Amino acid sequence: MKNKKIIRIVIIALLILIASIFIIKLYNKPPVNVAKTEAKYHLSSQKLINDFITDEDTANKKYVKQIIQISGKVLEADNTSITIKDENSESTILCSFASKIENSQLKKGQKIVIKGLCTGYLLDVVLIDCVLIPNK
Amino acid sequence: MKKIYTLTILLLFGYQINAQNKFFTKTGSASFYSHSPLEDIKAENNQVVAIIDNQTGKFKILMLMQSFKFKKALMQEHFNENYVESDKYPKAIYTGVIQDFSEINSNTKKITFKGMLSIHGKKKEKLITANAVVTDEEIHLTGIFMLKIADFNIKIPSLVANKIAKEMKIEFNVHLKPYNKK
Repeated sequence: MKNKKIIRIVIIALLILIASIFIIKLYNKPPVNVAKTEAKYHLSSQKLINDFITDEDTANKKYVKQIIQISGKVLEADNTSITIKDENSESTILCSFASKIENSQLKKGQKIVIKGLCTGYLLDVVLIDCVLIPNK
Repeated sequence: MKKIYTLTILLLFGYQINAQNKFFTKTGSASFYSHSPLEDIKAENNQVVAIIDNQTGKFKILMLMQSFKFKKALMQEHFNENYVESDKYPKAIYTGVIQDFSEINSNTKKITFKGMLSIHGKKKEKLITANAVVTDEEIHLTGIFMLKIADFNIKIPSLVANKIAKEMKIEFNVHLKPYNKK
């Protein structure tokens, strides 16, 4: 009889412990790590820009908060961001990095593949927390 | 709806066609800060678009709510889903005219912006004063201002209403360069 009571208390205590660990973990969860997450959409820069230009609302629903991998040509690059542009469109994609990076080797017109979290469309499509995907 | 899109695109093109007299950036930063007993709330946005017409003194500042980055995923989720509802209102826009624009020169230390600030679908007239460095090559603006959450119809659950400050501190740092068509 006594044993049963102790076991019950131990089980409840364990459950509470597990629940609180779970809650604390959930509470402290950092934002999504782009580098370690597989992209939901793989597409060309042109397609992404066109989708936003033709129907911003639909594109917002589809792409915002998603990790997107795009391929396109460099227009400008500095140590916090890369701008990607296609010849066929006035708009561009602005890819920002979470921290400063060394990308002086990037040249205008160079083809790159880049992955980032889409946050929407201002004058450009904006991707944040970007990661360059090295050429294979 | 279609008409609005065409109009927007035309307007954007318009910007680019006569953009020679404009100062411009896409990578300005804005952050907000609010103290709460449980934890300080802090987020940063480094993709702020700012355009200043240096003929007329008109300005336009745009940012995406989703671009605000928090330390914790849960905070970011609450901010976007419950507070600013960024699905419905993805952008914050501040547009208007710089006060006494004709008197601004390289000796100017402070610039006052007067315009409509639109957040969460609500518009509010707002004066914002920025510390400024003005040269032919750049306009650099920094400053701090306060925003009342209630002004923008942002509902705070009563459970936490007393724990969240009624005002947010907004800090900005925007570096505009002359716009060159590439």
